[in-house]
Amino acid sequence: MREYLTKFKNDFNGAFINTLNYNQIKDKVVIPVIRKNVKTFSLKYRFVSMLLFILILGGVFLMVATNRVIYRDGGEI
Amino acid sequence: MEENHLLQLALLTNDEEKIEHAFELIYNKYSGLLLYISLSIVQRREVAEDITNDTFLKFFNNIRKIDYKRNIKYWLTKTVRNASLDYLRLKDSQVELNDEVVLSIPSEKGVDYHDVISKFKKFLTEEEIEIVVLHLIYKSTFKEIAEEKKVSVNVISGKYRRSLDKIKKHYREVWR
Repeated sequence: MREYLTKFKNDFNGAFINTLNYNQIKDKVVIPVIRKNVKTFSLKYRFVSMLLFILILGGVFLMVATNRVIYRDGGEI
Repeated sequence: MEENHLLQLALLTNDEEKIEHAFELIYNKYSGLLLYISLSIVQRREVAEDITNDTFLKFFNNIRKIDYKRNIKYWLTKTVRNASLDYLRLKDSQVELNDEVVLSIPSEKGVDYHDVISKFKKFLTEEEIEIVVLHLIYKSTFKEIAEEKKVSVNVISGKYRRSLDKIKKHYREVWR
């Protein structure tokens, strides 16, 4: 089967020629560079908040898992 | 999806060279596919080339505004198909007495597509040719083709299998 498909591919590629080239549109492409790099800060901020969230979630999970209750009056029952 | 990741990284680094490299990679990867889709609709190579390049320009020059997160290929193929259909609609709405004359002039580079199609039409239907070309040559998945054609994946895979049988039968006879 593979040889038939290869023949089909060759027949297609042999006749259908793609003459397009990036250089044809290169001059018209506007490279979207942001001069003020705000993204780095926002990414850092996002990373820190995710880390905090995971820590808090982990703490809650541990408390539930160990069945420990923290009382407001310093832990005395 | 590899180019999607590369493009997003390039945009994050904000490096002009990296962004341009990603653009070039995307262009080289999909220009053939888009040209094929457009050509199969508008039937004229010069027009199809213009539509394909316009689609890429639209994508590149609005990269930070448009939502392509789902799939670059999906966005590009959908846009080029719509642009080609729009061209046809616009052309149909205009009364062009000279149109037949224009269409009858053979294009310098335009004979290749019709050569391919007429050759394959001897043993496949137009739809079968499209499915086989999209899947075999341009690596579109059955799911992507099914979404475009608004049918189920099973229908596409069934048609693909039947097309393969026809291809096999055809070349077996040719080689005999």
